[in-house]
Amino acid sequence: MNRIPGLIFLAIFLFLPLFLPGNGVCGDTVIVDAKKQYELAQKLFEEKDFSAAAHEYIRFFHLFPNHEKVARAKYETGVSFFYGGRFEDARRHLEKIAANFSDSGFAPDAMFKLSEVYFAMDDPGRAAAVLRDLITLTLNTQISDSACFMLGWLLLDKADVFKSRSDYKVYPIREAEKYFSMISVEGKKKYRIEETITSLEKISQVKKKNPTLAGVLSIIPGAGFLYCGRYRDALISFFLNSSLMLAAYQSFENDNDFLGGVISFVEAGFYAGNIYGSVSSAHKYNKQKQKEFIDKLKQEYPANQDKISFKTGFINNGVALMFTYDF
Amino acid sequence: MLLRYNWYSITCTSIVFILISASLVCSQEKAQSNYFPDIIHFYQEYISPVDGDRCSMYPSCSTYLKKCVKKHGLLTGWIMGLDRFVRCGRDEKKNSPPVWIDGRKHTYDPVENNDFWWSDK
Repeated sequence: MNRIPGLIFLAIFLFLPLFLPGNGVCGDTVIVDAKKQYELAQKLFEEKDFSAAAHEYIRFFHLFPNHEKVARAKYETGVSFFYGGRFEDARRHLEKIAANFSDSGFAPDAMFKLSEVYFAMDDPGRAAAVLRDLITLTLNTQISDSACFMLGWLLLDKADVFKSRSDYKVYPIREAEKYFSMISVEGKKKYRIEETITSLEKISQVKKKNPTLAGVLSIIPGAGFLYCGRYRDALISFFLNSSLMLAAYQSFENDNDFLGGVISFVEAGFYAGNIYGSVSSAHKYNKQKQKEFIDKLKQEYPANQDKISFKTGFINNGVALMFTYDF
Repeated sequence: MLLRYNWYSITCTSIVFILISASLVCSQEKAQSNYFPDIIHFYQEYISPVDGDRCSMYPSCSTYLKKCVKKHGLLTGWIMGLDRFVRCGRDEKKNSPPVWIDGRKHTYDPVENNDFWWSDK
C-alpha cells in the first residue's frame, strides 16, 4: 500500500517531460513569431539584400497567412524582386496583387510598381497599359493624378517607340497631352503640369524634315542626304551612284552587256539604298529633335525631374532601364 | 576608264553578284535562311581577315547586312545594307552614340535604329 505514492511520483517523473515544451529539453528550438519574421525581412530589405528579403517575406505570409500585414508583405515581395533585378518574379507577384483591385489595398501601389517592372523589362507598351488600367479602375483622384502624370511622361519618353508600332494609332505626344489634361486642378498645381502642357504645344514648332520630300529629292543621288544635313554622305552617294551609272553606260556602249548588267544590278541596289537612306535619315533627324525637345522639357521643370526619371541602371551585373517615380 | 584598270576586282564582284542573283532565283525564304548569310559568312571568314578590320561601325557592315537580310528578307535587307555602306564612318558618327569594342571606338548603328520608322519587329 505504501508503494502507491511512490509509483505515482515515478509515473509523474517519467511522463512529465513529454508534456513540457521542447526548449525545456534541448534548448535549441527557436520560436518564430510574426513580428520577428517581418522585421527580419524588412532588415534584409534595408540592407539591400533584396533576394533574401523577398524570400523572408514569402516565408512570412506562408507561416502567418492570416496576419494583418500579409497584403503588405506580398507587395514588398514584388518590390524586393524588382530591386533584386528578378523582373519576371516581380511581375508575377505584383500581377497577383493587381488582379484583386481595390483602392484601399495595395493594388494601386502594385500597379505603379508593375509599370516600372515592365519599363525595366523594355516593354513600355505594357507599362503604359497597366497605367491606363489603373486610371480606369481607380476612384481615388490622387492615384489617378499620379497615374496620369506618370503615363504622360512615359508616353513622351518613349514616343518614338510607340509611334513606330503599327498597332499604335494615336500620336503619343498628343496622348501624353490628353493624360496631363486629365489631372485634377489640385494635381496640376502639385505637378506644375500646366507649364508642361503649354511647353508641349511648342513641339509642333520644332523644325522637322519631311521624309517624303527627302525621298523625292533623292531621285538625284545624295540630294536627300543633303536635305537632312548629311553633307559627306550626300557627296559619297552622288559620286558613287553617278560613277556606277556611267560605268554601266560605258559597258553597254562597248557591247559588254554582261558587265553592264552586273554593274546595273549593283547600282540599282545603291540607288534604292540612297532613297531608303534619305527617308530614314529624315526620320532619324526628327526623332533626335523630338528627343532633344523632351530632354529640355525635363530639365526646364526641376519639380518634374525630381519626381520622375528615366535612366539606365546596373542590376545583378546586367544593364536595365529604370523608370523611377517618387510620390 | 575606271573599269579597264580594275578587271580583277570587277571579276570578283561579278562572281559575288552572280551568286546573289542565283539566290534570288531560289525561294525568298530559302535564300534568306541559307545562301545569302553563307556568302557574307564566307566574306567574314576568309576575305575580311586579309582585308583588315576597318569598319568603324558597330555592328560591322557585313554583320549589319546579314542581320537586315535575316530580319526583312533579301530585297529589303540588300537595300538597307547598301545604304549602310554609303553611310559607314561619315555623318553617322556625329548622329549616333559611340561604343567601345576591344578598346576601339565604334559608332553604334544597329538595324533597329534604321527601321524603327516602319518596322515593329
